[in-house]
Amino acid sequence: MATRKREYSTQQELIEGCIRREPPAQRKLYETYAPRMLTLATRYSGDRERAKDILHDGFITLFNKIESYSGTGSFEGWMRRIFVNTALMSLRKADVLRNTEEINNAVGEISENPGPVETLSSKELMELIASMPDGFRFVFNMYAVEGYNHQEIAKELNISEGSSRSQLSRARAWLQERIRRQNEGE
Amino acid sequence: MKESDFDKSIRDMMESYGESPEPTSWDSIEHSLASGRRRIIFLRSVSAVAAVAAVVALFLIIGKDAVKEQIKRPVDQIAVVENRPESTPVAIEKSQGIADQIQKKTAIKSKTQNEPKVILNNDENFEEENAPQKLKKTDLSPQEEKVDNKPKEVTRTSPAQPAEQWNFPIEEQIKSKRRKPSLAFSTLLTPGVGSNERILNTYMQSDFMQFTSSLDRQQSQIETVYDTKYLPAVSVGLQLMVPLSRMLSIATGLNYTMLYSATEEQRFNETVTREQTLHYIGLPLYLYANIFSGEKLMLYGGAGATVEKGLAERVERNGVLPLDETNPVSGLQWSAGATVGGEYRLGKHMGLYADPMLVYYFRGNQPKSIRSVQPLQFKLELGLRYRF
Repeated sequence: MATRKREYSTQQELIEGCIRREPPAQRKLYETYAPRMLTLATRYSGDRERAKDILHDGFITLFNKIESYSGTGSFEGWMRRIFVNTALMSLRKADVLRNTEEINNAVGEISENPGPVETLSSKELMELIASMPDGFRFVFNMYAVEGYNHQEIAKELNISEGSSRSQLSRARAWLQERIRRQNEGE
Repeated sequence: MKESDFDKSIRDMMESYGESPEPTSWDSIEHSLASGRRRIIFLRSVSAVAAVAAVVALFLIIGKDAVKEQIKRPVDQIAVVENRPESTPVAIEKSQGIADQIQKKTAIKSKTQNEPKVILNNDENFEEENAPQKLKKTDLSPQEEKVDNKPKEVTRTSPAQPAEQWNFPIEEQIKSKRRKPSLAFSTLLTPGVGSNERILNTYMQSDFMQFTSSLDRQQSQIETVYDTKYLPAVSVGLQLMVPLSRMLSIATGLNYTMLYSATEEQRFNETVTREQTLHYIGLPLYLYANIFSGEKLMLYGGAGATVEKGLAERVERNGVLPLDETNPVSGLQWSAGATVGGEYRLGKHMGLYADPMLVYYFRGNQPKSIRSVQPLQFKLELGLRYRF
């Protein structure tokens, strides 16, 4: 018997298809968002292999919890929140977050003028972020890219708000220095 | 470069960038989802089998009880007519069963050496324990003593004989136990399901671009936190229960339910409170099976479904853009439930009942409420039942 192929032409239809546990809808949602979610996972984990695990676990959580999406606000924003939580959970399991409180003193000289970020490709920038020290990476990603505030970061990472601010500042300096070096061709 | 500019540049580049995952990644996710589905199917199958087994067991118990009741029924069409003048009334007019007659016969036999003839019209319907007190020698009338040497026989009672002539206590007892239609006023409580839900939506800057001014964007935070408190549903109703047989009853009725939730939206630079009140009218249809029926207490199990129609949704919101509107609710809310409940008889007609029940609310196109957040709910239906 021939089954009618669903098109899921709108995001709403796609979400409703996923709520009904329809595999084609799940597949389409995955194909639409997996590249960006993989980048997110890599930015947090700093490790491609671990990022693949986060991608897997994140989508499983997403498909199981998609009914709780309220329908208000950005779906991708809601989805990113799930993947950030999955990444943090994964890193917590791997005991990576334990050293978040430690201030990395290996920060180089802070650049006054690191040069425009746009001179780097997105891939180069992502690799730079992924190579940041653990504590810097989590705080910088959560604050600068995902838009968490310091209170939320402190709660998620179990650190003080002061530490969050301090690490963000150092993370920015670390990244600006690396960008400057890249721009100067070092 | 300002910190905020630096962060924004990074954010813009990262949001638009994506790397293709390996082709096997989806296979792995699909496999995990399929395993989850198989597990759900397995659990549902086990639940279905358990439910069927419970129903079968219930009916076996009911069936056994029904046979017992049938055995207890007296042989109401039997009377002993001895060889005596027809004008002599039979001494066993208060007979409750064939066992009684047998005992009488035995007693008579012990007195006489003659073997009486017994003809039964329903020889499987007796039970010795239901026989009334044993016939003593003194119970025999002088006439019986006189005629006990004569041959005796038991014949069928004439159908034309009026039933009132035979006063059968057990029959009266059964009549009194026969279930009657009842009307109940019920209130459905939902203990302990008041629930909180927190959702944090992360808006991208591009989302804001579409509907906020540049000034708002400067002031805006990126997330909106939704903190929703759901209060337990309040429900009242009328229930009409009609017995289908001695053990089974069907119940229907009409009930009204109110659902209330309050959502605190922490967004932009303000906190907005949004209250939602939903009104439903419902039509339940439940089948009940009697498990135990005592003088004062009755236990039963039941299962069924309810369909509810939303009457209205009222939304009130404060904040910069206050709102107070009432919207129609389209579609139907279906739910299925199962209960094991009990009734305590307060008198001949009144009973107080309590039905703890598990109800599952199917997700439809209904407004979001505690039923969509928490589809499986434990409820307690309390009410007064009046039997006609």
